[in-house]
Amino acid sequence: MISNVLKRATVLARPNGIQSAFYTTAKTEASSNPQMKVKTAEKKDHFVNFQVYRYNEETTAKPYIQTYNINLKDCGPMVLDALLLIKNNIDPTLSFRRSCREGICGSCAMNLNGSNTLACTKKITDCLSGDTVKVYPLPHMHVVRDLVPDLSHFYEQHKSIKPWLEPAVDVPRYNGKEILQSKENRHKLDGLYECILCACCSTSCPSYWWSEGGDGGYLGPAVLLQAYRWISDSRDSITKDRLAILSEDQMKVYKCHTIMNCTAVCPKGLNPGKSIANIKYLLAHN
Amino acid sequence: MFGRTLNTFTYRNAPLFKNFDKFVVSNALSSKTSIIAPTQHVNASNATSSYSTQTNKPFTITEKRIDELRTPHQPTSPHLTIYKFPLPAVMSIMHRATGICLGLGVAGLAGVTLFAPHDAIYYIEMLQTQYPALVYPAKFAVALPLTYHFCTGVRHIFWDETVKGITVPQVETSGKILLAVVAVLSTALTFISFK
Repeated sequence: MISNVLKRATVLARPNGIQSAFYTTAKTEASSNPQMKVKTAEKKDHFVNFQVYRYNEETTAKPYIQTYNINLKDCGPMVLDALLLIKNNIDPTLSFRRSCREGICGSCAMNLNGSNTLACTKKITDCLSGDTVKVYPLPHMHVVRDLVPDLSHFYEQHKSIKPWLEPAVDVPRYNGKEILQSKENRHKLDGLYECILCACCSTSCPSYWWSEGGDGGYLGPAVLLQAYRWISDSRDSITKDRLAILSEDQMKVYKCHTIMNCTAVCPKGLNPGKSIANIKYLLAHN
Repeated sequence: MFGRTLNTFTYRNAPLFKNFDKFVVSNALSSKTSIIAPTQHVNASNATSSYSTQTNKPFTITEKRIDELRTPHQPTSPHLTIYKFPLPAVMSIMHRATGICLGLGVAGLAGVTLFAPHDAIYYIEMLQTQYPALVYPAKFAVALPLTYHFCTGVRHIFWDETVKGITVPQVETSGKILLAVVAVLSTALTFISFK
């Protein structure tokens, strides 16, 4: 290890600087021979109209559609890159949620060309119709501003299904802490635990549009998938209570008519429709 | 409730919130606008923070009750008008539409038999004799929703009983097969006569 440090220290003394201590800077053919040009795929001009839903409570009485013309040559591949380009260079008043830019936080869920996805993982060229991309907030939600919907009711519903583990008091624990699980039982959670609660599926569901309101309203695909995630967990002890919570009002589960919009739009490739069917099966056969 | 109340404060000096509980209690019943003069305590705290460029002006605190707060106007985002429905969703809403049509048809037939001067069969025979060109379209108009609703209903029972075939490709292919079956069955029913 010391020899390694010494080696790096001696490399640091070279004129190339600190980078050469950590990266090999082998000269490529192209850089050594300036006449040889490296062929790269040259980006062509491609102008795309972004039709964005705009609403600001303070300045506009009604929502309107604003069109931004963008050259894809200057822009990253994803829709979120285009929205950031608009916000940075064209119109700083455009507001939208974004965080991780890699499809794990679920902040940038929105309706792109009539289908819900995450803007950070959707390519612009995949949601072109002609030369326009239509950008709307999640359907049938209260709009706080521009592309920012109010998800507080959605989170309240998620809270109502007790989204946490309730282990039995006398459950055997490994090292006094960990509750062990067999491989088969762990595999039951695959396709369920990956949900990031981006609300793409719930807001794509016509049943959720019309009957999500109130205390006993339809919970929606995302929350029901989460409910099934905790029901099917082998370490959980209150499965019957969870089923009872879901069946205390018929609207909570049975507003699902297997329309399958939820599964079609899920950006993580999960199947909320199937987990709702599983819940219905459990409710009917218990 | 206090969350919303807290948000309505405009405050710059943290020491005010040492007596926060009393303050809320004394003001909770009615909305008030009160002017708070800087106290000795506030001056002391300002002396320690040399970064502040703000002068010690008296400032206004406006507190509002929860029901006096203006609820923000949040329009509902567009849904039905902008959403692109895939085939399974269209088939689902057609299932409901055909169900409503069949229900209305049965109710109409029952209404005719109850309240019309003649039997329902009389009107059917009248249609056959007076408008023979309309017989096949009329039969098709009954057969199509009937077979469609029946087939998709059977698929629903299959889904609920077995929890199988509920993935997007499977639902799409089963939907296309169903549409083909419905087309064949309804045309067959159109040209079959039960005499």
